[in-house]
Amino acid sequence: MDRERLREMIDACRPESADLALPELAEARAELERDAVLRRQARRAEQFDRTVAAAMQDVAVPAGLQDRLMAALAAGAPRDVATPVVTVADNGRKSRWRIPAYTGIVLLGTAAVLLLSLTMRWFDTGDDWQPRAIADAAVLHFPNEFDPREQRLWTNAKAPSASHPLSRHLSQGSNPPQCVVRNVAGCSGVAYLLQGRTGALGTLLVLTPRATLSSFPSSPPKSPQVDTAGCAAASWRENNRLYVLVVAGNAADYKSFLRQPGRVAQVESPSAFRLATAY
Amino acid sequence: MDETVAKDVSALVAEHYAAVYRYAYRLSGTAADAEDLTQQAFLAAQRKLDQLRGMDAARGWLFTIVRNCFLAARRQNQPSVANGELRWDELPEEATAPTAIDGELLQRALDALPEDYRLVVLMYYFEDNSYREIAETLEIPVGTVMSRLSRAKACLRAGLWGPRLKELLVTKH
Repeated sequence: MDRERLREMIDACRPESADLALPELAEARAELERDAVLRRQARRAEQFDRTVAAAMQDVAVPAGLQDRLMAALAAGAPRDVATPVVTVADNGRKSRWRIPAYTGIVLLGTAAVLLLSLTMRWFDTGDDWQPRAIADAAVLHFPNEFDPREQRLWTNAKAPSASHPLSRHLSQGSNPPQCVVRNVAGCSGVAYLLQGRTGALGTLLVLTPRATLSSFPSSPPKSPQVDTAGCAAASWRENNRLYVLVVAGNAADYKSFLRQPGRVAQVESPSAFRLATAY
Repeated sequence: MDETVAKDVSALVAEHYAAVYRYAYRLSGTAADAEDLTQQAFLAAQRKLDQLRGMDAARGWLFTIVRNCFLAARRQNQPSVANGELRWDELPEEATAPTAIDGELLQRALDALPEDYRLVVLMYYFEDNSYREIAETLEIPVGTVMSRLSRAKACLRAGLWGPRLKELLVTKH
């Protein structure tokens, strides 16, 4: 039998399972019984598989995730994602009243979700969902990014978030420090720590919007929407996300973050992270 | 668990959120994306709860939703599989497999796999699916599953076991 095919067959079997007993693997089984070297190799590979399977579960779950999920479910943020239909044999006999009762529960639940959605929409389209209001809210949130207690949240991930990517309109490094942010103007997402050409520090918030973004500009405005209390900020829409740039400084500092035609994007300085502590 | 309560999405979250997050993390590779995927999955589950036939199937159903969410937002840049393979019949006789693997190192090795390979590997190691079940779920031939699984495992061995073998070789010389 072809060794490559044989290896694939044995590799496909789960450790301590009956997979190898399947009729289509009879040849592989016979080869294993015949060849002692092959058996030893397969045993080592199996030991490795067990170690990998155990390491797969070695992932720390963020604190408060369950609460955040429940809050998101209560808000019922809409997303259209394909879901599978699971068909599991049902051996139990069900009462004929079961379907009407279940339908009633679903209808009641749907009505409650609809009412909640309408209420949320009413709030969402209010004055707090305007570019300037969002920039204001981000300025208020801004000091939190540099709270010493929050410092540990900044991480040097291997890449920017795929779901909350960096802006193509800003001069920025390819992979600046990032952290997860929650409840900035009712939205959550990812924050990136950036440094402008003037040396000013800024935070780019990339947020999952809680309502339509039609009132937001499609790129960062040339001047900040908010310029107060030592901070300049603006918000815009991009990649179906809400982007907010908050800069420590004035309008000139804000402008130093915007990409200029013909200029090479500034590479994130490693000192940016250290500077943040003294910020 | 009472079935009416079990149908409630809150019960699904309470029972499965940690496993769903871990799965999403292994699939996406970052905490932010994993949390986003987890949230998307439970929101989708909430909308399609009537499609869940029995709580025994809930875990697998949620994992499938996570996979669909991930594939819907899949990245454009696919890593190539040509980053080193280590077949188990190429391992030196005296080499023993590592008994513990660092979680971050494992993630780097997973990130280096093309998504098609990573999906198969996660379904095998994380969900403990047989190659037949993987083929049925992904609607691909059994032979394709075997081939992807074998190559993906060879890549993982190169990334996780390879450095240790090099150390052994250095020590010997």
